[in-house]
Parts: sequence; C-alpha cells; structure tokens
Amino acid sequence: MEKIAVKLVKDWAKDNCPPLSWQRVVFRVLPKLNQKGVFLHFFENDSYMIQEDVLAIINTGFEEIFKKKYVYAIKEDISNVTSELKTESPKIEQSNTTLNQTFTETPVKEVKAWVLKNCSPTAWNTVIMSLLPKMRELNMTWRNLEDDTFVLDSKVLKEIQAIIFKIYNKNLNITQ
Amino acid sequence: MKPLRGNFDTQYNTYIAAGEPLIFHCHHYNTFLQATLEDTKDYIDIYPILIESAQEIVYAQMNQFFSENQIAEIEERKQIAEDFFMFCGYGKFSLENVSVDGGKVVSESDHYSYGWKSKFGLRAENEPMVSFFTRGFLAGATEAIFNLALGSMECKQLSCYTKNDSFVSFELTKNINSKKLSNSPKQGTTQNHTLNNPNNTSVNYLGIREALTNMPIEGTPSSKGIIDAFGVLLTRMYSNYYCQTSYRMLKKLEETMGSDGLMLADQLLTEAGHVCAFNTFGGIMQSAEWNGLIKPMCQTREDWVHGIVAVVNAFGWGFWEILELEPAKKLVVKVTNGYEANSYLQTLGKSSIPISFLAKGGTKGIMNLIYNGDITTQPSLTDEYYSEICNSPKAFSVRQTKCRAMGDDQDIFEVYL
Repeated sequence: MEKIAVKLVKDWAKDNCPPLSWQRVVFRVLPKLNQKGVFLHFFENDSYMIQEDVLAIINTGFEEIFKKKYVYAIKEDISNVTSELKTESPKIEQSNTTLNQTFTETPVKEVKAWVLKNCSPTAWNTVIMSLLPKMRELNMTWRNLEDDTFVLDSKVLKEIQAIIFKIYNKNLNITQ
Repeated sequence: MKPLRGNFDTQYNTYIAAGEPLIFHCHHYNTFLQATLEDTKDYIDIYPILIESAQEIVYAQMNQFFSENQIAEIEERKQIAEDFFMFCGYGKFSLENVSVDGGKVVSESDHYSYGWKSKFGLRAENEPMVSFFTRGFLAGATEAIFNLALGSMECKQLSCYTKNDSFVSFELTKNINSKKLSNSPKQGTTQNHTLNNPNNTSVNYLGIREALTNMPIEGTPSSKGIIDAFGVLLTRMYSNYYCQTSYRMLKKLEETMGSDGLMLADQLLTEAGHVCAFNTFGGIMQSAEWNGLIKPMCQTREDWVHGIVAVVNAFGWGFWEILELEPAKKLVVKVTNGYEANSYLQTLGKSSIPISFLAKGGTKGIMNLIYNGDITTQPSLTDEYYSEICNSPKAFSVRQTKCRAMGDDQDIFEVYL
C-alpha cells in the first residue's frame, strides 16, 4: 500500500485551494478518518504518512467542496518517466515500435479499466498527469479523462500507450 | 401597517427589534459560516439546526411585536413579516397565498440563495437547496401570524438560484404533531457600557457611530430586499441565529466526535469571521462613506485601525475598544456585551473553550488588511488577494485571552505576528 507525507497534501491544498481548505476537508470527513483509526492530532506532524485509502477519503472531501483532488502519483511517476527516458534508451526504441500501432476509438471507461487492471491502482492518475502537457495539442482537457463516456481517438491512445510503456513496460491491449 | 424596525440601543451598542438583537453581516460571512456548518452533514443532523434556529427566533420576535402593538389582522401581520424580511436584506417574498394550513411562497430574491451562488456557484445535484434560514423564517413567521404553536409549521424549498432555477420558492405545510422547539435567548446575558472617544487618536468614535447608525442601510422594494453596500450583500441578521446554529453544531460535534473536532471547528468558525472582515471591513475602507466621513480623520495608519474599530461599534456587535496597538505587530481589543458571549451564557452557561469566534476572526482581519496587505492603496478584494494575505509570512494570528463564557468578566482578543 502506497503512502504519502501529509505535508505534501497540505502544501498542495495551500497552493490550489482557498485558505483553510485542508481544515475544511478534514472537518468534513472526520468520522471516516476516525473509522480508519486516523485522528486529527496525527496530521499535526507534517511527516505523518497517509495511507492510500485515507488519502482517498480526504480526496472525496476535496472533490465535494472544491471540485478538485490531490493526485499523489504525479511527482514520483513523472520523475520515473524522466529518468527512464534518460537511462533506458532500448525501451524507448521499443516504444517507438508500439507507437506505430493503430487504435480504434475507445471510451475512457474501457481504457481506464484496462490500465487499472494491468498497471497499478494509481496508474490512471499517472496517465492523466503525464498527458497534461499535451492536452492542448490533443484538443482535450483533463476533465475528458475523468468522463467515462468520453471517446478517446487513436492519437490519444497512442500517447497513453507510450506513457504506460515507459512507466509500466506494458502494451495497451486495445488495438484494431 | 406599523412596520417592525427596532432601534440602536447605545447602552448595549446593538440594534434591538422586538426583543431580538440584530447585527450587520455580509453574504461572505453568512455563506461561509453555513458552508462550514454543512461540512458536518455526514455526522451531524445539521439541516434541522439551520432551519429551526431561525424558526424559534422569528416566532419569538413576531409574537412579541404583534402582541406589544396589538396587531390582530392576518393581512397586516403578513405585511409586517414581508416588510421586515425585505428591510433586513434577506430578500423579498409574498405571503399572499399562505393560509393557516400553509401554502406556496414565491420569492423575488433571496439573500442566501443569491449570495451563495455569487460566492460559491451552483450546488451539486446531491446537495439540498441553500435557503435554510428563509425556510425557518417563513415557518416561524407563519406560526406567529396565525397564532399557531411554535414548531407546528414545516417549510420546504422548491426552487433555488443555486440549482440554476430562475426564481426561489417555498412550500409551507402544517405538521400533524408540533415539533418541540426552544425559546429564543433574545438579548441573552448582557453587559451595559458607555462608548467613549479614545484620547490617542483623532478618530471620533461617537461621531462615526452616530452617523452610521442613522444611515439608511436597508433593503427596499426596488432592491428586492437585497442590500448591496460596500461591495458586499449586507444583512441585518439575528445575532442569535449565528450563535444558535454555531453552538448547537459545536455541542453535537462534541457529543459525536468527542473533543477531537473542537479545535478544527474553532479554526473554521474563526475563519468565517476573518473572511467577513476581509470583505466587509475591506469594502468599507474603500467606500465613498469611508473616504467622506472617516478617512479625513486618519492621520496615521494606526488611525485606520481606530477608524474601522469605530465602524464596528455601529454594527451591533457590542462595544469594541482598543487596549493596545503596536504598529504592524500587535493589537489587543476588548469587547463588551459581545453578542456571542451574551447568547452562549444564556443558552449554555459556562464553556470550557473560548467561543467568540467572529470577534477573533474580525480582529485578525483588521490587522491583516492594514499591516499585512495594504488596504490604504485600494487593492482589489479578490480571492487571490485574500490567499496572498493569508499565505504571507506577515500574516497575523489571533487568540482569545479572556472569555466571558469561560467565567472572565470581559472578552479580550490578542492579534500578533
């Protein structure tokens, strides 16, 4: 089970939400946290490590109040992408091969299900964050990737294929 | 029709309308406070608290007014309730179709619905409509109008701006069995005092209070009962409404979660006051009224602090006096007859924690506006500016060092770096 320091989430909230948003979110989900054996004073220690399931509870609070959530795989996975791009050139060559694949248009729901099943429980967030810099070029927004009914075209699927190959060394098995 | 208005009582530094203290507050405070209270919805039955607190207060007030003035005609009573709602800036509705058995109420405007949408936008599909205060007002007023028992009416909201409806409407129905509700604490446990001009400033506290308490800050038919002043939507709100809703939530929180959530609730209720100070005090310090009446009295930045504290003395929040002001470092304020302690002492007695959250946030907001940000340069009071001020290393903190509800003889607040 993955963990993250509470400070990272607090800092994210400070940068991305109104003042006192962390407190509001925790206030909203307090009983659910207590049910998980997590109490308020735990969060006073900035290095306290939040478990994945606790972060999911906190994220429901952020989503309900501020319509956004903390995506904790960002920094780690993007750095993975960068380091692998620098050090593992054979993989890149291999991925170039897979980039030549043609994909049929597929709804987000199916792609997301495949990614979550075959890569990791956090892989879809990683895909979204890694695609962010290319969103304009792909003529879409990150919200499209949260809409299960949105249909991804071949160009987007190729990008997703490249990402999951680089990070998880897997081939997206949704092909024509 | 004899309108219900009330008077500013200089002995208590508050407005009293048929036994109920009224205070000025803006939509930023009203909606942020409600949002914080609603954050407990998954573990506290908060919605009845938001409705019934208003119902009890309005019922008590209207009953007192009708009785003292011997107003028996149903139509006149309806007009008084409609007129008072509008005068206070709550919005505008018609009770024309309401009988002793209930009926539909269509509103031309509603402070909470309008204010919420303008601050937070639309509410989610799974969230209820936002005008809990109005629901309680309508239920309590209808009970008083038709000589019904408190708790005998129920009010549902049928449409709301926050649900993208183009108008706001409600439906009143009669309960088969009356709910057991409480009496309003009315003025509560009060303190008498006299406001004096401090001798260390050129700001004329008494003159400012006199001028502001006589200004026609009120909703009118043409404004549809909305008071758009100083860049905010103002209301003359029942102080007991804030107190009853906040303290009932705190009690339930303690019963449900133990003391674990109290510190968090303290921070958030204080933040509501801070948001209010930023927007309302900030708006006032940029207003034509400030520039014409108060700014000419200000020779130093410290006079700006005195100026806004003088204004607060006309808000109905009790007597605010500066005990100590160290420029850009420290502010100590004494509050006499603060409405929070008045209400708490009357309804709940002694508290184990300081409970004057609004005053805490308000005093902190004054220092942040004047010495952390720089309100004298007329900045835009945007969300971004608010975040900048809050996240600045120069941001002030606040603590309540004395609390009447804890047994002290006064409320004292210390704002520090």
